[in-house]
Parts: sequence; structure tokens; C-alpha cells
Amino acid sequence: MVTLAEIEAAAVSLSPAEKQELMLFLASRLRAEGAKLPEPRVFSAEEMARWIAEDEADMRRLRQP
Amino acid sequence: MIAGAASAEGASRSVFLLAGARDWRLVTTPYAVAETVRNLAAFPASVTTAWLRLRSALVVVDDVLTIDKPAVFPVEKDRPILFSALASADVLLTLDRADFSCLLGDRFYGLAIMTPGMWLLREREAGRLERA
Repeated sequence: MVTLAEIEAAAVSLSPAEKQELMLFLASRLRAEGAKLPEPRVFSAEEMARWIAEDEADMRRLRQP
Repeated sequence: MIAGAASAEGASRSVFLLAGARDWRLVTTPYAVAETVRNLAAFPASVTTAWLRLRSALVVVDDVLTIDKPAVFPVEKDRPILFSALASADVLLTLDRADFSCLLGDRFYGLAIMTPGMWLLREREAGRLERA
């Protein structure tokens, strides 16, 4: 079993607990291989204003009879 | 989370307000919290006050680390958010159309990705949420 497709196919047959264990194993391997989180992003004022306007517009639509 | 803190009139704030009375568990990660706090600096202090109230409704789970290399996943910049949601959530709520435009309203490895407004609409159409 060497290809990703073979490993994925085998993983499907694992129990839920084993799948969770596999996920934790992979997370630990990623950490060991130097995976890291990027810096939190800084959004522009325009982008955030657009999100808020869209979010409020969605809520107005939800309130319409 | 930014929109929820910045506006009391949006769907995001409603998700926070409605979650307590429903079977909704609001989950976030340290990365997403850090991003929120970092960007709240652009708003008046009252928004930070609102955020601190909303923050108490959130369950913080571990970030899922990812390799910062091109991958088959369509979301590049927001990969930590996507991977953490895959590990911990049923639905990812975001207003970030720049990073999630190709996934909004769709599913990614079984994870539903939608805006807060889409989520509220879905709950209402399913009869689980009365009209606001």
C-alpha cells in the first residue's frame, strides 16, 4: 500500500475511533515536519465593510414577510 | 466573528444570539480568534466590547496545522480555517467571498460552507427557525 489512493481506500474501512486516531497521527506528523500556522491576515476596511453590508442585507431579506 | 461584533443588525450577530437557545455549538480556533482580534483594531472600542461578549459563546478547538505549499485544496490563504472546520465542525460559516467564493453554498469533503445568512435561511426552510 504505497499510493495515496490505496491509503485512502484502506482508511475508509477503519472504525470512527481509528479514523480519529489516524487523523491525530497525521496532525502530529505535520507538526513534526514543520507545519505552522500563517500569520493572522489583516483585512482592508473596505473588505470588512463589504462583509458587514452583505451580512446586514442577508438579515433584512430574512426579516421580509 | 468580525461582522458579528461590528454590527447588531447582521445575520452573524443573529447566529450568536440564536445559538444559545438551539442545538448549535459555535466553534472557533485560536487562529481565527487571533485574526478577529487583530482586525478589530480598525473598529471603535465598542466593537471590541461586543466581541468580548460574543467570545464567551464560542468553543475554542485546536488549530489544524497545514503545510504551506500548493495543494489540491481550492482555498489557499484560508487553509487553516478550512482544515480546522473539517476536523471539528459540520458547517463552516464565513463571509469571506474572496477566499471561499468557489465553495460558498457548496460542500467540501462533506463540510457545508455557507454565509451566516445562508445558514439561517436553511434552518428556517427546514422548519427549525421561526421568521425573525
